[in-house]
Amino acid sequence: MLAYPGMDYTEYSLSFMKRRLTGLATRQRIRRKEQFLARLQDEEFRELLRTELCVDNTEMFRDPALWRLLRDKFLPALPQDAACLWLPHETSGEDSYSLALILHEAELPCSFQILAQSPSQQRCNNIEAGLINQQHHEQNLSNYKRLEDRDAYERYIVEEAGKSHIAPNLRQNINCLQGHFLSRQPKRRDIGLILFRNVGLYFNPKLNHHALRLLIDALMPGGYLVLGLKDHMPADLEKELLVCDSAERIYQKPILKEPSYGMHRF
Amino acid sequence: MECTDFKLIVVGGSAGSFSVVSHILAGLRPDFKLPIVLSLHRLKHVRSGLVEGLSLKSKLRVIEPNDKEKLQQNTVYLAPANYHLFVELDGTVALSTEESHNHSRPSIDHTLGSAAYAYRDKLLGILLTGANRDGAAGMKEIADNKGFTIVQDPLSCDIDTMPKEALKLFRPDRLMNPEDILHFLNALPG
Repeated sequence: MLAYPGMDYTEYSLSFMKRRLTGLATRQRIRRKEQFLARLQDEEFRELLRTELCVDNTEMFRDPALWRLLRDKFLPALPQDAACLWLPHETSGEDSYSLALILHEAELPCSFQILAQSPSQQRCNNIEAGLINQQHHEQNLSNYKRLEDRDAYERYIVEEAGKSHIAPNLRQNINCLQGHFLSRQPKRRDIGLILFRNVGLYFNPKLNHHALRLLIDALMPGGYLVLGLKDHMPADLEKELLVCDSAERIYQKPILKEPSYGMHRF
Repeated sequence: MECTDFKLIVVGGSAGSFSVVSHILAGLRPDFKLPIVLSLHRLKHVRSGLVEGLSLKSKLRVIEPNDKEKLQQNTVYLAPANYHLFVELDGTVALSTEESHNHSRPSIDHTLGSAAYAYRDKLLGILLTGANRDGAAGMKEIADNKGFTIVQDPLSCDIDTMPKEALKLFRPDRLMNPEDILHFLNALPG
């Protein structure tokens, strides 16, 4: 796999790779390593593989309490120059749609751009089209009700060609970037929020540490990093951050003050 | 088979299993060393309550682990709501939000199957009362990997679907009621 660009899964968790590749091989009726290697030469198969190795979001507004906190407390407190809300490893779009929806409902500035990045072009296409997994509908509805205490979720859903999509006015602020975030990051200094929930679960400890290091560096001072409720945060990296909410796993990158002696001017 | 040299205990259960697990944890010796992993079907979106409920009577520490946490002695690990819990070869926990299995996340099959692969004949698997087939295949994997298997006697179950599904797949080392399971565990060395 390493021989092909964008296919470096070396430091992914071994058991995760075993599960996903076994599942794919069964569905594709691949029984021998040679068959797999032959199929790997085909870009269409590699795209299928990249898609398979992205685990779908389970639903919109997973952990409603987190979304409530983001809406009421942390999004309004983003650094003044923040313009980009980055989801470095988005899969089926639900986290991006949830973010777009709470920004809309809280009437927060529409100047925020939601940047959803995925290794898979197919995933990017689906997210840009606002495609929603129909199987998650009931759960989305129930989570939204927990979050907002009302039944308004369905007004944000439109039917297009027999499929459910998030409404166009919500998805207009979502932009996609194709490529793995470990090898391709957005070149911007205005990233005020990074949602990296339940992604590190599929990395080995070394890659998880590397990924978090990279994300912390990409975040602007004063910006927030949100992990999944059970994600592993290495102690040395946690020391660099302010723990804003330990239950919902919200961290802030401290704002560094300029040294009073003005070293930076020399 | 007879084996007492276990390194890990995994327990699966669904409907009716809370009271059984609670009873077992309350009755275990306070110096019971083997780590215990619990994979119990639970409401996906109720995060709190279960670990606190089990902790009330347990003499051992009961926690919901974070991802990549190392399994330790004298500790009970409960699979968190809406996450699968896998046991890795290096004795750590791997959580996952992958697809539901048998309509369940956590899936008992996933926990038991991964532990069977990682611990082989050093694993003790226990399947309790429950209302679906999840857990049956995982228990068979434990048996296939030469682990020791105990299935709750269907006659002592609130709902016997889960043990009966397991019994269709393999013959366990023991068929026991909850009280006997407790005695068996307390008789283990260490």
